[in-house]
Amino acid sequence: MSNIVHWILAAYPRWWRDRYGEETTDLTTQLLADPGVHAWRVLANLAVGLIPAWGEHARRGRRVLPVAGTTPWGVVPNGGHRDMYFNRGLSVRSSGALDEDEVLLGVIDGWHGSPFIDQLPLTSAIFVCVALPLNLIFGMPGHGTTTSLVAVAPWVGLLVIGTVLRPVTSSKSVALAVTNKGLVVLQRSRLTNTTGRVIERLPASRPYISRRGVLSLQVQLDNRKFWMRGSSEPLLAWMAYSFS
Amino acid sequence: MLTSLSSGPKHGYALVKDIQAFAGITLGPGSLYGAIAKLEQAGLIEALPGEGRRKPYRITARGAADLREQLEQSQVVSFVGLGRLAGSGQ
Repeated sequence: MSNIVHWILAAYPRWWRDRYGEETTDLTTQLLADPGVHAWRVLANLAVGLIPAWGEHARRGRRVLPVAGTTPWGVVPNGGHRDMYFNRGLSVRSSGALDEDEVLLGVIDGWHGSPFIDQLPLTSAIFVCVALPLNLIFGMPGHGTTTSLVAVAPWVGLLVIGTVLRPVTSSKSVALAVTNKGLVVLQRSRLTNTTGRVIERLPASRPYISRRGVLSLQVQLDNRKFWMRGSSEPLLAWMAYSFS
Repeated sequence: MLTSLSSGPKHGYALVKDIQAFAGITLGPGSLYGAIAKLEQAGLIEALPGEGRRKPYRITARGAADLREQLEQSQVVSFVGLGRLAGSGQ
């Protein structure tokens, strides 16, 4: 009989077995030993329980859950993905910006405001730096330096526009440090991905994250929206085992 | 389950026996832990540190408020229903 219980439990999702496996085994053993209870009904009920368990498993894979507990936790994205540089996992950074009793659980990279405007100056600068020498070296025969400068003028324009719009729209690259107290929003370098000064701290009281495609996540914390791209594997693993 | 836990923390088997006693329903392990998972996720119950493989659960303040609201609604329906039955002479 215990073999059948073991086989049925083995069919439950991993998170279920880790969280409720021992308790379920204990209860099943007690119920099977109870003379007033039919063994087949206990086993059938255990098997039927697979349906909601796997249903819950599927739901957990599609959404982000606020971490349970009495502490105002931050949010963690539920779903494995890689960051824009195809790195898996999280880098623990800017720990010096946290309080002494604050535990850094992970960092999610993203943007505040418009990702397009945030990236516009850097992208434009790269295009100017690439397009101008190419035009000068490989430009059309008979065209002078002036023509080459005119060719890159739109990118220079975008560079200026992006530089002006970034502070106006408060568009900036940020990293959300998820801690045991909530969220810390840090300025992030787009080139090195390293984090800098703390922009603000958020309690993350009612957070949610919805998926947009595979890599991008939109995070709304109260009235603020963040477009996130990041790695969450350690957070995911941590979250999967933190429901107790 | 919330009604059962309102009298104090209980582990799985104690819950099954208590619910069997006052509701006449014998919950199986799949049903019980399916419900526990949902209630725990909703923040209506919480697990306490257990002894060995048994982990007791207790109702949270939110769970108690939710239970009270549900029972008060049921009480109103029962009161109205019984009153109408008495009025119709059935």
